[in-house]
Amino acid sequence: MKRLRILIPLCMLFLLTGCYNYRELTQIALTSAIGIDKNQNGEYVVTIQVLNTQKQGGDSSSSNDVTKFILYTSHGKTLQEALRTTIFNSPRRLYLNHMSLLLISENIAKEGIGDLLDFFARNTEFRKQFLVVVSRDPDPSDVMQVVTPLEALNAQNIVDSILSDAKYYGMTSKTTYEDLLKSYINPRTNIVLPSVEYIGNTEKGEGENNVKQSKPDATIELRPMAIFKDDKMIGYLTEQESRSLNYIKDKINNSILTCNCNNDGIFTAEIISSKTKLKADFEKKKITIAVEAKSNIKEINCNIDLLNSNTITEIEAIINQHLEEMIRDLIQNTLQKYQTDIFGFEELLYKSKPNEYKVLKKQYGEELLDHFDFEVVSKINVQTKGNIIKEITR
Amino acid sequence: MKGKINCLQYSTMMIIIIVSSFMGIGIFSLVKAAGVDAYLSVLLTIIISIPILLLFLYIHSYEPELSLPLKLEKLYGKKIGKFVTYLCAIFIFVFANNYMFNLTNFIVSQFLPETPLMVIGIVFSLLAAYANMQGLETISRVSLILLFINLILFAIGIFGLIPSFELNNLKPFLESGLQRPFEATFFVFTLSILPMYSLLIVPKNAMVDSKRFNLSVTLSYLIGLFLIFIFCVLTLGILGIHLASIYQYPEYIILKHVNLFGFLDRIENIITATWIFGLFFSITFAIYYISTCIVPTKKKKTIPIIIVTIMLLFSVQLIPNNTTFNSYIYYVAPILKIMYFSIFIIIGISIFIKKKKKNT
Amino acid sequence: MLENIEQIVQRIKQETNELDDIIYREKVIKKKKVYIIYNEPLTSSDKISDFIVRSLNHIEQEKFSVNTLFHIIENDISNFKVKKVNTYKDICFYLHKGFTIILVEGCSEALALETRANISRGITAPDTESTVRGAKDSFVEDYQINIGLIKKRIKTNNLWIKNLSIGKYTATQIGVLSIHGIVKEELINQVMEQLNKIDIYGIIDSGMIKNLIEKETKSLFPTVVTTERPDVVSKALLEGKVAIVVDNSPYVLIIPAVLNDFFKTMEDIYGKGSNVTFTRIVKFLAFIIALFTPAVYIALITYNQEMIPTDLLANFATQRDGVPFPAFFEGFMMILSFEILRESDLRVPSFSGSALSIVGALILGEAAVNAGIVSPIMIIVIAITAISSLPFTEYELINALRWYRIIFMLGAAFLGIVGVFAVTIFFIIRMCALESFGKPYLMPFAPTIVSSLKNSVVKFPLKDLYKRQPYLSNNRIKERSKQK
Repeated sequence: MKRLRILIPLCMLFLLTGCYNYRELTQIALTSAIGIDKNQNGEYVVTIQVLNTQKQGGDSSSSNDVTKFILYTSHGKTLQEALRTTIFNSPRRLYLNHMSLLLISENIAKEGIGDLLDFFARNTEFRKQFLVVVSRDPDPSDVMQVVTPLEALNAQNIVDSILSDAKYYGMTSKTTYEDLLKSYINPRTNIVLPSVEYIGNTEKGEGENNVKQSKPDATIELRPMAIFKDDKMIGYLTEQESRSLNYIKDKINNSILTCNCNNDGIFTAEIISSKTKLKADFEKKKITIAVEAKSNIKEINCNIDLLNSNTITEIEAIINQHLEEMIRDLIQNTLQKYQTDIFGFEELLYKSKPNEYKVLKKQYGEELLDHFDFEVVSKINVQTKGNIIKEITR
Repeated sequence: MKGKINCLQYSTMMIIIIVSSFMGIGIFSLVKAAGVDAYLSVLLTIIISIPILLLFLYIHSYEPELSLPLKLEKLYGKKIGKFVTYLCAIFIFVFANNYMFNLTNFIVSQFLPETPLMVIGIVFSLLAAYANMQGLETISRVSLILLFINLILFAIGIFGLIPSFELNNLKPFLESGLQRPFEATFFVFTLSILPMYSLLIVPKNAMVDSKRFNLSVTLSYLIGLFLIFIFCVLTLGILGIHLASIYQYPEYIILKHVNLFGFLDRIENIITATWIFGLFFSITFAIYYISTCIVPTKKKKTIPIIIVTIMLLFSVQLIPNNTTFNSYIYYVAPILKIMYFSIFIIIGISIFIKKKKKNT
Repeated sequence: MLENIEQIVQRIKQETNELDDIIYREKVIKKKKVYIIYNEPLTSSDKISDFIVRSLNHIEQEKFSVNTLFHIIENDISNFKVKKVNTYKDICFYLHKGFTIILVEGCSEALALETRANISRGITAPDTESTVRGAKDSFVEDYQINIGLIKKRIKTNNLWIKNLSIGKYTATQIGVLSIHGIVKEELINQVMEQLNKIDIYGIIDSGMIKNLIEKETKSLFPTVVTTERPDVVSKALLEGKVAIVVDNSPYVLIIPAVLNDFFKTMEDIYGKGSNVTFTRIVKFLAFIIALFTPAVYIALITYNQEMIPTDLLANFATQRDGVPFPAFFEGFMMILSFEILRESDLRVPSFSGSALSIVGALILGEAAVNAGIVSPIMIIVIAITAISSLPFTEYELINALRWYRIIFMLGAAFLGIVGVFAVTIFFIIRMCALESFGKPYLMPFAPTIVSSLKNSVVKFPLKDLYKRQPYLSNNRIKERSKQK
């Protein structure tokens, strides 16, 4: 009896007070991606991609008729307002924790993304591990509505292609929201974001028909990185520059490099286990970028005799030179053209000698890096792995 | 009291109290005070706080049969002794409120945003009171089990975090010299070493194996601070100084990076159990301390409930929001802790004088 | 006072209300009246006619003086258990126990001869604790046989048995077994004290004794091991535990029992250390799974969806779509139906058992999913939980798990994963506070006993386990320790 007297009020307490945050899976809309744009009134236009979790009929063949995701669009003065008001269109409350992609329209990126960041950081519902991508199309919902083959969920498609690109080619790099925030807050680093573009027929791409044919009407294509100064986008890199940037940032995992042979023709080498070391020398005012990697020759379309050990050294020299040029071009181009330090060189200077950096920064201000020389040293070791040992000739 | 618990249990209690007092508020204060070198100040604290550890052991060695209230009565006589005891109890009560607010606020802000603080507070304080009703033996056993679970989760966390750890984030090393990390040791010291003094309530001879007492206390002091050190290094190494200083709970945010074997991610909520268990235990032990101060000898049945009720009113109702709490932690709490510590310095000195008198 | 045998016979007749079952045979030997009284259903008439009556007839033919008659009977019928009885109460006691009472006129003592009929079943293989390896005998309902089964294994003078009989009407014989020199005296005293406190109308089974001596009546977890295996009892005795054998019960109680004991089986002793460790880890995992799975599932899909990987969550959401009940009730319903199924399975005669499994598997599984009453994942969760609670032999443990599982589910339903943590803390406090006859329930773990950890979740090779657990025995080194 004595226990009952304690237990009953306890149970009452739980029964009456609990369940504040109770939400069944059937009450929430799983958001997979958010696209942000601005309209003429200066309001945010938010496109939300929600997973369609409606149960399909027992017949498995009919399941293809139902779309995998649904798009909602709403607008508001702030992001929170815009997201909350999707409730006007959708029967369920948005659940944002599983969001995997944030698409920022080019317009907004050019205007400045500083205002966007606060909302995602402050809100506990976001995981902060989602990727951020710039959409080259004026309206990000164009990209978000494409029904993609292989990976039925459009957002996951973009994420996966970025991940596999970062792993096997290195044009883009995996930039999570937290990375973005980190480089935005840090005054010595600048933002770079991958970009995507809609390719194909806009009207036809949105239906399920898009995946029912072997050649889809529309696809989403991964494009080189967008570079920022402060919070404003100032341009896009080219494909090669984008890769060079990743070499400097040591984000290349596996990539390929196509170079000219000494005589006529070209060959392609695969770069593996690449490692970049940056070194700052304050006395000589020099920053050294040392790339070290291994390489496999994947394709040869010129006269190279791989049986000769001298040719290996030659090839190595060609590759090294090519890579060094690539990187040097990028540094010069961006520093001259955009005057933005997307490489984190200032951070490097700061981290290696904070006090001397501060002195220099005071002295030169924005033009600090112009007073530095850049030395690129590439050391690529060619391994001759392949099925054939001679070139194929008649 | 004789032979109730053993040194291992005492050590686990100490480690939990040291570590959990730091969680949630420690890194916030440290980063604010020391910047990137926050982790160094934890290492510095290990060295600097050795006298404090020695004082702790010194007070323990005086009348090892008696718990703190009885010790004080013996030292100062009945009236003054009681007064000092109650003074300590009030301090501990204030600190326990911090734990309570920290726990409830953390849970509400990260897990259950729509739930009132009070509900969480009631659940955990009732549990703490319930543990207290079972007596010290149960509390110490609970600490053993909780620490065991915590260490396992902690190990999972560390293994999952190593891939996203970047040594580069810990640079620059000693940007502005030793001075800032040195100053920041004050926070480690007030936040997690001083709560250790509440363990004086359990007399040394209550241990079955009191011979190993000094060794095990020293070891748990080292282990506790080392765990804090790992926390700091991981937090700064993963988030970097800039992000670490904007988040309310950076130690929780880093857990979102945990990824084991490529598929075991999103387990930050499970690993947070270390946090919840630790703070729960700290509250429990604080209640044990206070109730023992009020009734030194008898078994406690109703007092824990009363204390818990008052504590709930104080911590959840009186602290209006997080900002107040943070500024309280940063500005007011250190002063209170120093006052609390000075009581023990005085006790130490009086013991010294008393012993000298006896000898001469 | 036993001289007047007519009076005694009259009294018995009167008290038993002229019960026909009690047979009184009057005989005159050497001009002295002798009564042979026995309780027919309990006695073997063969024994009585073969031995007692024939012996008495034999005595009559011999030339003995009447006065020594009594002693002659006592000596002559020596192949029986013979007891001298000198009070009326004892006469009744032995009479109801199946003894034959011989009353001789003028003698101050009566004789009670054991002529019990064998109304016990034979020794069979254990039903509830089957093992792959190890002895295949089990206790039966007969006290003597049970004691015999233990004594067969432990041949020492130090096996001490303290007898008592409890129950106003049943006078059930109870033996408290322990090995002197190993067991701690205070444990025996504690047990005896608890047993002596018992004041009850009758004891039908050892289960009643178990309930009456358990101090922690509030606890759901068992603090006494019940076993039907004599080898388990013998092992426990050798470790310094106390066994209680109760007449008419095939289950013997072992005291004290800590949580870890329920994870050990007899095979553990025979198996290789590392293999046993594996099965024990599996059991501990099963214990944890059985407690937590439904609760964690409910917490995850109603509060902490962020913990489920996106693809899986989309699957869950698709499957939950159209299920009208909240996840907690869905789970509760399934658990309830599983428990009903299990309970019916225990009670149902074996010939209709297969019908039950068809109903269980088809209706509760397949059809309920198709009808949209439960989601398929909930079925999986409940199935995992159900099988995880079965590797324990102790029925009480399974029942305790059942309760705590529901408490965990409630916690999860009210506060999500935080609720699960809160209930976990509650569970830990309960387990830490629990004691079995003064021994902490989580014994080798909390408080930690390093030497006992060698045989807890992990098991070291038998050679290394030469120390008894310090909380059970003062005589800690097992005698074979020195051989290395």
